[in-house]
Amino acid sequence: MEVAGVVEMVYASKESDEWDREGILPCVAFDELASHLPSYASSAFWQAICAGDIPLEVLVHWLRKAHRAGDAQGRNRIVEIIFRRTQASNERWAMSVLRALTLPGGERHAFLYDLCADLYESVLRALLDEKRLFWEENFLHCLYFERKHVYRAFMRREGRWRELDVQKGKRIPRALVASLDQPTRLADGEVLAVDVEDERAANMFHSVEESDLLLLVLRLPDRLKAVVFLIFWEGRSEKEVAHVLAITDRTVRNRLRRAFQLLHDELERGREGMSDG
Amino acid sequence: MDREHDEAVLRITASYVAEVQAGRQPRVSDYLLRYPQYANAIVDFVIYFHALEGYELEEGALEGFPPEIADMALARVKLRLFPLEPVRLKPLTTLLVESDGLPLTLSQLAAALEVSEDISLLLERRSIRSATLPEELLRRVSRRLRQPLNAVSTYFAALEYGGDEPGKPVSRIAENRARYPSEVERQPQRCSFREAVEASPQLSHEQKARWDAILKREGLE
Repeated sequence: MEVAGVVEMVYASKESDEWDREGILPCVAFDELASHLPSYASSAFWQAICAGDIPLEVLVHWLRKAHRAGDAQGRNRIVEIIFRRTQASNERWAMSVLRALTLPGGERHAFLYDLCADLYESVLRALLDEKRLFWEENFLHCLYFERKHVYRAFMRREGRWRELDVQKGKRIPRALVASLDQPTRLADGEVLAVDVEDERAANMFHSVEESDLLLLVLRLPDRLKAVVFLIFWEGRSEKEVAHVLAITDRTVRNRLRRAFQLLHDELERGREGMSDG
Repeated sequence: MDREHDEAVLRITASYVAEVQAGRQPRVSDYLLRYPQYANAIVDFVIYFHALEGYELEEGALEGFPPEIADMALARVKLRLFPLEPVRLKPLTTLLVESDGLPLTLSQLAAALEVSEDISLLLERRSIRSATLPEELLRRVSRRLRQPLNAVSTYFAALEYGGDEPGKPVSRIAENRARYPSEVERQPQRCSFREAVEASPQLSHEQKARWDAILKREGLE
């Protein structure tokens, strides 16, 4: 069988209704692709694997088979192919992570190395775990999840991830509380119309890049994240958020107030840190 | 979190991402209404995705990313996960066979190294002085043949007996004079890598310019 034509043949044989609505080829097609490859470990097999157009999901399938069969050389070879094909994407991700950090001179390369090594180890463990079936259905999405875990673990280990929790006993300005009862609008790029006495809080969303703010919101307690995201990124009203999360309007306001204070305090801490040099 | 929960969250968020990447603007609230039991996990992933995966780096942001980091990271991970596997060191005798015995054509080698076939042939014949070869080229050979870097360096340096003059022996104490293969005695004068690049009729101007930049960067004038 012409190796080069295997992928095209299998895709072409799929009727349009066999693709799910997101246009993702179902797992059965990857199984079919995997079974259409030449015999394992033959020259033709390796030519096909190295060709570059075999889906990563199929490579994971064969990696797991090689590992199960105790073929260390074959396993290592497929591991290298997978990592080469995802190398550029992983490097972009690592650069995105470090972009948001202030690093002492000379530490950047060390951070990149540690971050990449953490990611590679996490991914490789996942690839070798046959119970993690979704890697053979949607490799890229599993990679996103793995990166999320690695990002969090890495930042915690480096002491750069402080969970944002309300400290007990801290007074919240009455004006801030009162202002949150007013209608708000955001998430479509328009100016946040929040009338608060504390201008620093009001300017918070404008002084920070959206992706950096999202990284801050990521550190909020779970219960607060959804409220912040739905109101400020999706532009939902408090009533709508209350309905979506099955909580009361008042609970939405309370959570928003707490989130606001935490984010504000964290931004202030960041600015003080920078001015201290 | 149990495996069933994790799998469910993976599938649900995969659906969300597919919609985003298809240019539709899915609403997280719709997903939360449909799957309230996974609300926290869904929101957590969506925020991460838009912060770090949906973020576009500006052009040139990857410049300065040390190319050896990926290799080093992978080597470290393999050592951690497969520590008992012996490292097989096979001496390199040709550039036209990979480490597991698969043959390579000159054209495939040239493509992997981003050089022309005539230069690949010079490299295979070791007709280029090893001291003039850029590290970048050696790394590409190492990567393509899946051979350690020192094996590649040793391959190119193998004909260098006492400097750049092929055929001139270096005898150690109490060592008999070495015998040379007849090809070595007949080998033409070797050139530098820069000379090979400049003289190649098969390399494009762009390729020559790229190699020129690499040679300058590595201080190989």
